[in-house]
Amino acid sequence: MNQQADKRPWLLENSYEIGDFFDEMFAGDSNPHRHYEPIYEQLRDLSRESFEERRRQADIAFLYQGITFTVYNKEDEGIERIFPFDLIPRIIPHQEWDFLERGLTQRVTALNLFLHDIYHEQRIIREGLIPPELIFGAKHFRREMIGIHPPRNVYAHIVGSDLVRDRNGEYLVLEDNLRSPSGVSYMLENRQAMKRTFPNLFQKYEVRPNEHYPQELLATLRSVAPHDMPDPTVVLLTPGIYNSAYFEHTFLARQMGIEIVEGRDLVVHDNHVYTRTTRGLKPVDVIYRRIDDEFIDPLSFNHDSMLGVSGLLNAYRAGNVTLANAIGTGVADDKAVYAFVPEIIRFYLSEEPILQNVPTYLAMRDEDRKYILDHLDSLVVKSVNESGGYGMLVGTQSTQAERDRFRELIRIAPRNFIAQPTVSLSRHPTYQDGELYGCHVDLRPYILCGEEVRIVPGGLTRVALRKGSLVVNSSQGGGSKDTWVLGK
Amino acid sequence: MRLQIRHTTVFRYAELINEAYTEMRLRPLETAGQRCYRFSLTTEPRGEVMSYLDRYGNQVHHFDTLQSHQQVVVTASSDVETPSSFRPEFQELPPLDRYDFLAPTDYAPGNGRIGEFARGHLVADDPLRTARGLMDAIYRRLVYDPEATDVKTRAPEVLEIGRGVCQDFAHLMLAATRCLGIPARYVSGYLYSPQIVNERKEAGIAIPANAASHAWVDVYLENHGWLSLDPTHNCEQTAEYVRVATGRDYADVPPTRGIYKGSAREELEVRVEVRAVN
Amino acid sequence: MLSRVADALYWMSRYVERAEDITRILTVNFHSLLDAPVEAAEAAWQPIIAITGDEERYRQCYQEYNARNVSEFLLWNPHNPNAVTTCISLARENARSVREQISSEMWENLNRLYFLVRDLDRDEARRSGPYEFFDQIRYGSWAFQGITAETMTHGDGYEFIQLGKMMERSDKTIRTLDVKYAAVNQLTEGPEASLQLIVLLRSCSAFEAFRKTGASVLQSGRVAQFLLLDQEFPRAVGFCLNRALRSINSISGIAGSDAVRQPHQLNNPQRQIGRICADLDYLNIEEILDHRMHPFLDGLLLRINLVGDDITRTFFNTQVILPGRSQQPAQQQQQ
Repeated sequence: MNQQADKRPWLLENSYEIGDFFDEMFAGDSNPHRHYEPIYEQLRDLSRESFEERRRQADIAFLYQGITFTVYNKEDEGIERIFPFDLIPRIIPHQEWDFLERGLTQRVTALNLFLHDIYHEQRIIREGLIPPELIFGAKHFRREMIGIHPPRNVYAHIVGSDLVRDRNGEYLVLEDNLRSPSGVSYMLENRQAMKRTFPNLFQKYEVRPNEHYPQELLATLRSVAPHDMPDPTVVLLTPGIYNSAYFEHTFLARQMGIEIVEGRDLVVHDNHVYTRTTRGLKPVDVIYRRIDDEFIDPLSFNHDSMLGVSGLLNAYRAGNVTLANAIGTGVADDKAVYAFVPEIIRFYLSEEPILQNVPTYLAMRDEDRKYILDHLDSLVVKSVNESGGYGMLVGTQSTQAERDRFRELIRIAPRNFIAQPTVSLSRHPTYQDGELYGCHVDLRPYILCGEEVRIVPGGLTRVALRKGSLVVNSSQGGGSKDTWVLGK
Repeated sequence: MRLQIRHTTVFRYAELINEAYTEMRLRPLETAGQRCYRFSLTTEPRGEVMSYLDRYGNQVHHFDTLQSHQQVVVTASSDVETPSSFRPEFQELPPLDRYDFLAPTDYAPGNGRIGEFARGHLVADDPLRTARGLMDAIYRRLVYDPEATDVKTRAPEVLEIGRGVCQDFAHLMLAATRCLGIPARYVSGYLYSPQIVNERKEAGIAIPANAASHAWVDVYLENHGWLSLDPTHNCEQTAEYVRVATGRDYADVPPTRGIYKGSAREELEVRVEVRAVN
Repeated sequence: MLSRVADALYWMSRYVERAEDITRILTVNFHSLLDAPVEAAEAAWQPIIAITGDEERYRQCYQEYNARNVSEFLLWNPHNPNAVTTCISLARENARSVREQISSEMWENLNRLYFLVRDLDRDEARRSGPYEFFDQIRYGSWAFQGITAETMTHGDGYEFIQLGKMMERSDKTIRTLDVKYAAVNQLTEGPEASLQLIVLLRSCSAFEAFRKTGASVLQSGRVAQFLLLDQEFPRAVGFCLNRALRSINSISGIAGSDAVRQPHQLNNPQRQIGRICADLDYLNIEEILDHRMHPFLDGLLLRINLVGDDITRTFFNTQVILPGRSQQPAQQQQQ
């Protein structure tokens, strides 16, 4: 066999275009960045058949293990899909990660101080740093939380902040998720899939492990138990099997060795929470809840909720049970409040923010609104209360009709909209339909706050699989990659 | 004035229900000269009654009844000393109160017609005369009529039909003052007033068993503080008023609120007795 | 264990067993009719629907009883809540709701079975006969039972799975016996009656086991006795109920059947199922032969269904038992 012919890298036979973006793998001269060199060489030596076969095996494994999420279409009929997985990992050198870790720790610490403040003294408002209507008018500001003291003053125990990189490769925070960020199970499963399909790739790198995330999560949850109790009972509260993240709920419960419960499994009596078991009621101390505030307690919030537990808020208020995350954390991931996070960091920590925000215009400010309305075709407009890529206008890809609709929406409720310049998101080579091309990526690390802040190296790298698309959410045609943080 | 109040609530169900959770705002406030010497709350079937302070400073009592039942009786008794008038010390309005007591609510939205009505009584740079003028206007505009509205009626409907009970008078007043930038809050409580009961009896108006329950409004005047106005009777709060809870509107301060498992319909019977003691 | 989880495991297991039982009954009849006269077909297919207890629903869907209609009804008719495809998806739905309680292997197996059933080419199955499909279902169910035994902790959850299986199986064995025994009884002794008895035994996978008991002649009374009272054959009613009782004892916190509680400490399922077992233990088969068989089986079925209700009330219901407020035993108060 002719060795020369084999050298031709089939993965790159249709020339890979870096385009006018920061590319995670390739430098401007089309050579791989240094930390991508070993993987580049391995991929180059792999035959198409061998690559395809591994890819097929990975897909089958995901399907049979039921690693799926549910998409609801117009007829309300849920469809289970596997979350598309790309075999080429994203690699983060250790000094880059150190920087991210410091930045995220700072950010999450400040956000927890902020939440404590707005549910107690409201210093930041009294001192005029944030307009009161921004907080008090936020959809997720919960008056019920005023005066409640969560253990260790932690509100957001689990935070997923979405990071992107601009054209220069600088990391920016795109948004924070302080309610119940999902996706961490994909981070863990992606690593397992990579280990199964490309075991020898790992030999070329010192990849920092992430498998201990469930243990870290459990330790975090235990550290915020009521009354510092030594051996608390922790449960995971899920909306049930029809929730799109149900797979993740069961996965995490299993990995942590805790009970997964639905609202109907819990009952409150005299301000204490119990599970209903085949041998009577058993006490519960910490609830890792994956149900939104609105549905968590029909007595105090949405009366029609079938998912929640009546009387839970009262048990929580009495300090007999810990909810993670606390109720009312959503006010801190409101996209209008997001614009103030750099201020929040300076105010509570007297430090300069390590990680920068994407520049943000608030439609509630007169001059910002004017700018937004004049530049609808170039900005990304976001509704402040929506997540998952819904309620969004991507100016550069919008039609006149869409822009007119948003113009009207902004006019009616300026508080509900912000706008950001289109960030030219970094791209990462991704294998799709037999060829390699650049797809936009982001990174969601998972930050745990209990006794201390812990971040498992890496996170979920989401990929916008549709050519040219900027939307990376799983419900909008996104996929994911394994994320490797390198040791020193 | 020293007043004793007995507030009995009976929840009845056509069939057995279970896992009932009930919250009550029945304890008279300790505020601006009002003292509550004694308060007791008992439930039948008996259960542990717990309590907390809500964001507006109201005491909320609550209990659960898990076992199957068809009836719950809650009896609240209090012994209160009321001041001759409502004169709280002046305090700067905290930011959240300023926001909450100015923002439109479900019951009291600031819609077009209410705004029009309110602006018709605006006295420039004089919120005190404006508020009093609005109280007077509402008193004249609305007819007291227990049959015309129900607990869900909102201020725009009240203005439209021109009739209602104290809750409706209060909601219209809230909506109107807030439209004009005057912070206002809903007050729920009791009114001891044998003569009004007699007048109504003579006018042929049916007197319900909970007639002593009452609702009125506080308005906040900059540099002056809270002033308590009752648009149903066109007067300031007097010694005959007992304050129990305040909030943005009725939804923040219902005397009872609950949830239970079972499909049986709930019937509520409320009796309120207020008597003066020397 | 959470009441809801126990409920789901129990029903997951019942549905898998139900799918297997219905499939086996269909298989046996397909086989037996291959060499039977055509006019016998109608008469042979009707009892199968009777076994499942869905006659009324069947008549709403079809005019006549034949291989095609009956198998369609039992396999995938969407109006039949007990159709095999429905059973498998309900089993999977139940498993999905307690995904974290069962082993990954169990879930994978059930998932495969589900995809197999869902993706089956029905036209092809109609043309070529669904034998292969039947086999896959039965092997799927057996694999599921085996995987369960080998990969799941034998705790409360496992016992609820066993309980569900045994309850469902006893129900199906009784129904099969009821219908087939009546059919055999209408025949005079002879080759036709023997054939029917073989079909009955095979419907319960019991033909070889019965032969091994040393019975030289196929006689309806002996067959009934075997299917009702045998303590060693895993589809005999006596075996099923004894195993069910063992599971209930374990779930209720009694290790092994030796540690018998005081009667007042027993819960309703223990009491009811214990009584049925005792009745069967002391039964004289002669008393229920011929025309007395149907009323007896009818009564037995009813009692087993009531045990099912008791299981639901005792273990799955949301009835709240407050902690630390259990009643003091009566004798202590008399001191």
